Amino acid sequence: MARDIQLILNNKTTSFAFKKISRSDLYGSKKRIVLDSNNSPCVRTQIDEDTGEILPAGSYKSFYIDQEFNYIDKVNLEVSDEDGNPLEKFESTLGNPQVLDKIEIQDFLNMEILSMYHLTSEDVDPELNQLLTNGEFMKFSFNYYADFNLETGVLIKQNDNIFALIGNICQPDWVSETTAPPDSEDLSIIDEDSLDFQMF
Amino acid sequence: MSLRVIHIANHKGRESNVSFSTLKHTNNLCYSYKSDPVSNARLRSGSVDTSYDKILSKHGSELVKKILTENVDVDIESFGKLINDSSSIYLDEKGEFLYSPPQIKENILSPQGDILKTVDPVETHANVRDDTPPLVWTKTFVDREEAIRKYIFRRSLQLFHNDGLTYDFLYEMAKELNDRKQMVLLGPGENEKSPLILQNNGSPYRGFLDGYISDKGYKLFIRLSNQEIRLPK
Repeated sequence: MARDIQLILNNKTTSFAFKKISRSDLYGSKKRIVLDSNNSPCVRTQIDEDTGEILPAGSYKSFYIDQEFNYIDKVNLEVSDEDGNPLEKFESTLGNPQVLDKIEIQDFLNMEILSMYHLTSEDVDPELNQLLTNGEFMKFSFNYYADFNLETGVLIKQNDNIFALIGNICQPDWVSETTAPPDSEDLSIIDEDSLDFQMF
Repeated sequence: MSLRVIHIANHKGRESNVSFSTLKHTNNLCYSYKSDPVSNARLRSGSVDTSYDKILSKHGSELVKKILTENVDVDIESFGKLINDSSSIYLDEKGEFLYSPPQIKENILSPQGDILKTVDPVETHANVRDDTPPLVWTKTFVDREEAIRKYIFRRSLQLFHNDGLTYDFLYEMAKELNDRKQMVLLGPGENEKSPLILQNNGSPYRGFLDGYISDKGYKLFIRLSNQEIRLPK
């Protein structure tokens, strides 16, 4: 089965090839390197804190174990949310047609965006093309790999290029006068190594 | 200092400290087996002495035979041992411990991945905190639809009031932007054109303030972007 993004609008399917466009593809990037006294690159590795032994790459494996230290195969694991509700595993959507639907700007803005793809197709459904040209944002379900979180993709047309922004829709609440301030949080989740951002 | 409080000014130049939270999609997975919890464990499967390079240099062309007959690729003493805690360390190019502090450099890479130059790392300081100059409204207002077509808003920070005074303060900001149906580019107080840096040595982001009001209250966000929506040049 083709590993493309297939999208359906009013029973008409368009197949898109896709290519990820990362931030470093646009602006470059920076990479921190560690050099020894001879200016040669150092090797990052792990050391066992109990024994002091070096753990080279490939010298250990991660497993799931039960409370009696029995090995549990990954395929036999049961997965649930924090409240104990069993979670459904979603198959990859690549090669599986997904229905397009409009998305409101506010929902789009409230997404945490994980990646951007440039989509190309030799035969875009004219109705879809017209909607995108008119400035509509169209959403669809997306899953690169089979897992327990179905992501959302949003189509945007910019000049002649169609992009898909992939992420998760968040649902912020209204803040009233009696709303309590949020708990403390760690900001490291929004950090990454990068060049200064020049787009203005 | 609490990381969740920032200093921000409104469109009239008044400033205050307010709380914020990152908009997050919650998807914490819990794993179990036959309804009992499971945990992740790391077990030793090799050692420095059984690494491929080491046993190849020791046994050469006899390696396969030695593996089959003497299990030279298995360290019986360590195989299967549980690793409780480990730390990251650096070894020199020969795999030996360092006896002097390493030098830290940064390679600046082009979009094609070529090294343009190697420089000393520059420390960058957070400019979005409760003790830094306030974030201020720049003169750059953008329609929401225009902004979302140009920039990838990777994350949003939602602002919250701490008391009645800051409720009015944030509500008024949200109302101003709600009425305009626009977002405004925020700048750090010391230099409005600089990007926002949320923590020391953190990534620079452009931050746009976006607000909504209803009879239920307000929603006020800083939309964070570090990438345009476009193809590489």
